Amino acid sequence: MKIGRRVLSSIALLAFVSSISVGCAKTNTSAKAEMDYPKKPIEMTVGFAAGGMADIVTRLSVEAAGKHLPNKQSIVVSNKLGASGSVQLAEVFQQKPDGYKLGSVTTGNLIIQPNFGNTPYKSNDFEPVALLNTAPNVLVVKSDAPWKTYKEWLEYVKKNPSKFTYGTAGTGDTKHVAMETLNVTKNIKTKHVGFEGSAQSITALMGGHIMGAVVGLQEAMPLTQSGKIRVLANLGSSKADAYKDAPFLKETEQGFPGFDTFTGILAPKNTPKEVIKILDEAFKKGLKDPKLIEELKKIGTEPTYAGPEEFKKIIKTSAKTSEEIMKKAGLTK
Amino acid sequence: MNSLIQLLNGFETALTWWNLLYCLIGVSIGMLVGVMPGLGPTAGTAILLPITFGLEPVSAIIMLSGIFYGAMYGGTVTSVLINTPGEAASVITCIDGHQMAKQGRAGTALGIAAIGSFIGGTFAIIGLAFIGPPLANFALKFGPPEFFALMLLGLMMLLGLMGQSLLKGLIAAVIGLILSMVGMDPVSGTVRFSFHQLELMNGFDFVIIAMGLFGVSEILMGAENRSDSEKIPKIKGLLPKKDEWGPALKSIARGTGIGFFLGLIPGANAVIASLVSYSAEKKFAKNPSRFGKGAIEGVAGPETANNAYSGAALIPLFTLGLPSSPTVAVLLGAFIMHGLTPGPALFQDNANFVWAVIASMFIGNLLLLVMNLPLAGVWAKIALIPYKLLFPLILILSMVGAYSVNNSLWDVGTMIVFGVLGYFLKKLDFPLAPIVLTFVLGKSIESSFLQSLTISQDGFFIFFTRPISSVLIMITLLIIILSIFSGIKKKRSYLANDVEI
Repeated sequence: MKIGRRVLSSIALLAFVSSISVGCAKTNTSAKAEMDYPKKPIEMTVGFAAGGMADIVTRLSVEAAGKHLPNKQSIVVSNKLGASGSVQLAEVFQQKPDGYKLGSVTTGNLIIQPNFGNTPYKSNDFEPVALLNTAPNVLVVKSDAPWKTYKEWLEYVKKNPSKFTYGTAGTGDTKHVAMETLNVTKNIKTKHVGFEGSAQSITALMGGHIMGAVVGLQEAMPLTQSGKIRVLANLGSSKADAYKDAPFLKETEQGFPGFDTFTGILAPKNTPKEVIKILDEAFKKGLKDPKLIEELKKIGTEPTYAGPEEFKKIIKTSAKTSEEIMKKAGLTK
Repeated sequence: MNSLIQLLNGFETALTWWNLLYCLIGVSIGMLVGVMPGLGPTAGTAILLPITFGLEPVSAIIMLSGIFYGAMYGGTVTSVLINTPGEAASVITCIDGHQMAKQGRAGTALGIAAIGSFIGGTFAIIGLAFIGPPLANFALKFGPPEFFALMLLGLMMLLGLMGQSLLKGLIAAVIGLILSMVGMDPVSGTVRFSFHQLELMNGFDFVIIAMGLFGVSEILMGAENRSDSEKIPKIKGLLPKKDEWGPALKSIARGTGIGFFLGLIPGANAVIASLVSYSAEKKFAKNPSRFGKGAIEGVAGPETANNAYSGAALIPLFTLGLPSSPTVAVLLGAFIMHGLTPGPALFQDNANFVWAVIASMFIGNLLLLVMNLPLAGVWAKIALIPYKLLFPLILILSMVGAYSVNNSLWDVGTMIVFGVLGYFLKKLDFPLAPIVLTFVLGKSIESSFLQSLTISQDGFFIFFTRPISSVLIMITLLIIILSIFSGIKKKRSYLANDVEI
């Protein structure tokens, strides 16, 4: 129970630090911040609920990265919900670029939402800091479904256009875009059923109300382990070692870019390069922490670090493909 | 027999000092988030989830599930005392519970709610332990068409809550339906009524609307009647009168059944359970006119139902690995994080763990009963605090609560706007319960309707070709026809006496 007490005390400490940070936030923003950064705790917001995937990945990574920040400063994470994460990112967009207000983002609020034209920001309006984690989306069917492999499934879908129904966490979700991308590249027709969250779409799949579902890798895990559902294909842009039998379509299907759901850290545009470098160093070291790797493994994922430049490229390509696909699929004008 | 022995083994684990302590912490936090307006079990479990990283899996799950069912006990308190539901499932309790408080019977209302919650919760856990697995597979038969039919039936039940004027009730119901349409439609992705306001893109939050319409408007009304003319009579004890025991216990029994059944279905929510139970009580009562004026059955039934619901909602999680509500989804996350895979294999691979958690729920419910019966008297005293002290306090708590939902000031403003709206609606004698209930039902009705049509190969017939949905729709139609019939027979405004036949 020692660990429990330690966690409790560190939480209490965190609460204490965060209350101080709120107190200091208004003062002490000298122009020379980059020379000696960070001088005070850094605030970071997450656009999704506490306890969700994006939140857990962010909090664990930040805890690991915080140990490597200069001046013994820390990063304080808080959740800011609304409009599928757009409210939080719009706030980051408007912050002063001094390195003390960062945002943790996912493919959803950074890449997909701006395509709908409802957000004040575009995906290239930020200074990428580091990519924390990227998890592929997979196409699953019930274990008693007639299609044993992706090939069999593809044959069926080609013969029966608009028959195959698949569920996702919602319209315009990365999972939806991933499947529509496959529809466009393979010139097939499947019917999308939007639910509120992956849990609902998996439930409908289990009940046999829909024929398939596109879900995040870690969301599929409990049910593939108990043999209830089968992974037909990996629609992501990174490999899934847990499902080696399922084809990685990015490699096997020509012209299919693949869609992952990633989580990463951004700073407001024009944040000084020195600041980004300090932050990147901390995350680069933090993501190698064996304790972090162990904890992420428990929730079915692992750190996938990428630095500012590489992360920028990832953002650029995903924004470009998603925009094209969403137009082709009739999701946006 | 085998299960019984395993359950006893489970008690052995659950009764260790540490696990007892975590169970106590869990249910206490659950009570607290239930009482606090704005904070619900979902937030409670989500916030505490990271703390459990360092705990043993058994202790972690014992604590987190304690928060889940403990919140159902706590939600009643504010409904009864200040006419503000602490969480969604307690909206119905406001109707008769607050009336009871006005008659000085807040203690009784809270007392019977605690007893009902205990019985409902305990039976649901027995169900989880012994008959859960086969039932869970049946519940999976509920797909979008069945949900649509179920929600439609729920909407019909609302007629029973319309109050004095049917017209005003229907207007209120339509307001709720319109509010539910604000934001992004999950099926087509179209954003409606958002006026390019980012905060409106996902629609209104139930908690904010409920706190505004019920809580803030109540404060405004109270500020107006500053004379304290509504002097609260003395508290008359915690237990019901002798002649109330019979009907109350019967309502508890019915509430248990209704809540348990609805809890099995992944995706149905606790609101439906308490709504259906309230309608059932009104139907079974010898004198339905007492409802809305402090009928004890109107508290006992729904409060039992939402607890039975929360126990039964764990069945799909344990047996199939499917979370049936946002709070249960956080619990699922906790299972996975601690290296446990919910599903059929859980009972075999981790039998000790499962039975310890189940045993802890018996203990937790008992703890909650022991905590709540004496506490009911303490809580009830809150109703005696002078308004000029009580109301500013509630207002501050509500604002903090509203802010905490999304950490945003927008929500605080929204709550106040709904408070002012609720004030005028109350002045004009509009019933408020239909607004929030249609708001909850509206979203699911719309999305399940559109989902059904996408799935369907032959259009609207999907609702009639599937047995469960067609039966539910038939029942709904039957209720409408019978109400019209009986209305004409009584030569009164035909819908005014709602579903009573």
